[in-house]
Amino acid sequence: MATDVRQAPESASAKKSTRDIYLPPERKVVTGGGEAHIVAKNFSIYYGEFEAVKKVNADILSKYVTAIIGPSGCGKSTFLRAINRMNDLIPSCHTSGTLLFDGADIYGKNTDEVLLRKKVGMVFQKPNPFPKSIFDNIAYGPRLHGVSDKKKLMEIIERSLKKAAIWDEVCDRLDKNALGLSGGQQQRLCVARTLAVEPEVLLLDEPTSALDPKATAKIEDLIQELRGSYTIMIVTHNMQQASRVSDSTMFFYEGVLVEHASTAQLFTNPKDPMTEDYITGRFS
Amino acid sequence: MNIGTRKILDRSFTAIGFGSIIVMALALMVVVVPILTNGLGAVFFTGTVEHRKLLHEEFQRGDTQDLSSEIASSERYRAKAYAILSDFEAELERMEPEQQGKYSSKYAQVRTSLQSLLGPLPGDSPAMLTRNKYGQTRWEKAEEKLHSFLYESKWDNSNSDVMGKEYFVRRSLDFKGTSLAPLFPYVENNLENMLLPRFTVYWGFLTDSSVDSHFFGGIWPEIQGTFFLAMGAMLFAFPIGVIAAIYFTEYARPGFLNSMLRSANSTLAGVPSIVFGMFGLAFFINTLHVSESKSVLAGSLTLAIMILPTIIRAAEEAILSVPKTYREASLSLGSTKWNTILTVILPAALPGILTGGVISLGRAAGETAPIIFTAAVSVGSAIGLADIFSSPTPALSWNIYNLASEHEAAAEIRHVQYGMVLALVSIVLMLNLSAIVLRARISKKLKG
Repeated sequence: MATDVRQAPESASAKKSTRDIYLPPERKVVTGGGEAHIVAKNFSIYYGEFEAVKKVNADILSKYVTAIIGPSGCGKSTFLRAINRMNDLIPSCHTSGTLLFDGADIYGKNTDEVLLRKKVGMVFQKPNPFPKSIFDNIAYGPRLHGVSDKKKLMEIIERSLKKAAIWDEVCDRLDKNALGLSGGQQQRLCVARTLAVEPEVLLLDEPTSALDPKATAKIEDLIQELRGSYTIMIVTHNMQQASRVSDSTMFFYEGVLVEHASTAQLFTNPKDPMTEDYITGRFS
Repeated sequence: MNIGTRKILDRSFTAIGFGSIIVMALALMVVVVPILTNGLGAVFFTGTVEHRKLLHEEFQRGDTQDLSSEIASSERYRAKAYAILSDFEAELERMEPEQQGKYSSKYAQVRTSLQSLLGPLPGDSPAMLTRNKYGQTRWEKAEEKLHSFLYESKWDNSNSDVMGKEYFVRRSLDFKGTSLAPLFPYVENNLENMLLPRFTVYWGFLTDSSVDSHFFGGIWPEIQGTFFLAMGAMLFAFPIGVIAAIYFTEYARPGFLNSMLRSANSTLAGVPSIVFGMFGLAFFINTLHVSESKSVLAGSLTLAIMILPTIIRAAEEAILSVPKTYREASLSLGSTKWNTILTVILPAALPGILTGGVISLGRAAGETAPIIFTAAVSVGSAIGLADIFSSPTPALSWNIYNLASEHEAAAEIRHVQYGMVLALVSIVLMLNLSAIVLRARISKKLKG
């Protein structure tokens, strides 16, 4: 069985159009979305000798929500972090194959990772606001990219906080330290901080694993709000969450992308027996 | 292990821990109490009219009218003693030569010790040294001098098996029957009237220059020198140290060279300070010629080299303790590495970096060996800010050693030595306290 999954599946897009495969029939179609925003071609990631992600071929559709599921250590986070090159922080990490964002190679020689990260924002597993005021947290990104006018900053901050559905809770204490917020508020603040630099892609790396159910529900609602405006990728351990929030789902096992299909199909009628075993809880 | 043994072990360990804390506290008391009591004595003491005269003449301080009335009242009592002296001198003139020989040397002793008690006597030639211009300025010193005025110290060497024993003989016995005899009871009974002891608070000890190599006056040149040296060292070492720490933690690739550099840094932290002193002399003064000879600049540079490893280590640790998530958050927002370090990592590491800095500042203030060859002089006046490139300076640490061991009259100025020690200890303590307060405040601000 294990030998089966190690073989990378053929790129599905060869036979059918990507839209047909990944798009959920039952969910609302997003206008202006559905292009292949991020494309992986035989993309592998190595930690030194160890191949953590193996020859992945996948298309991520713009403005839709793509969930990545799989057991611990299967390479789903590694794959996600490859998209905005956060793996650069690990010195031994290197890649092969190509990963395209808007048609440009993310790991190309001339790619400016700073510009890339501006377009591909990320929210992490643990809420990680800076030990600064709420205002300064959100303003951090815009200031980096040259906005210094206080009025303009305020506009951006209000818009971002509203988009992240946290404006009502913090609008009267923007000058207070962000670490004083609850975990769920902090995570939504982190989403707002990411939105403030106006990215095209939002990468969410297990954004609710450190939160209680109520805060989790709020984040999930938020993802639904943002669907259609941003290309969203979410790594999650929680299969219910994946089925609730995503349009298409990728299932990773031991570094291999076992199956990538519309969420409805993957959860009701998986093609691969591995996927079925996983989603029915035979292993985790 | 059975429960009984375990409990016994637990309890005995608690007892040993408690005991060692008590021993440490006692040791600390033994050191701190004399420093505190004797050191405070440099500022708070019972001063005599001589002290006030000194302040008025050397520092133009105090009320002239009050002082002259005080002097007048003390002179009234002294006049009688002086009269006895001149009577006896006249008597001495009239004596037979052999009688004269017997008395004159003893009389000279009496006169000298009265001089040290009251200051110059009538008929003395003007004193050359300031220390001889005044009598005892401190009452407890005056009482000591009174004792040596009244008693002659002699040594009993009759038993050759043991060390000689000191014993005292009243001088008045030598002069029995002469006109000098009334002097001794008179001085003993009227010393207070002659010196007018009064409780004095002499803050000038901290702000005055010394007079006649610390016989009188204060320790301001030393305090200022210590301040210059320590601040100068920080000025060089702090930025370089923090930048080096940033390099080690953020930019250096792990490898042979990096680990060599790190272990070199750790070794540097363990080098004896006297070696740094020699290095400073050889490198900064003799090779680079930063100054003609000893200077504050050379001393600061030497101290900077000495505290650099500590600052690097503290800053490294502070930077490494900044959560990785801050770095990720900043980078994921499209920040450059440099900007991330500047706006996120350094502010978060600031408490640790500053603590390391202030503790190093305290160490620089207290070090003696590195400045012996590069910056310190035993006696000198306070230097101006413009002189730091060329002039050496007195400094607390070096002058404590110097006054206690090399001063020609170390026993006469114990209060100055203790005062300096207390000043140095207080400065270092205050620096460390401010580090703690600073750290707490910034951490509180960071935590929200």
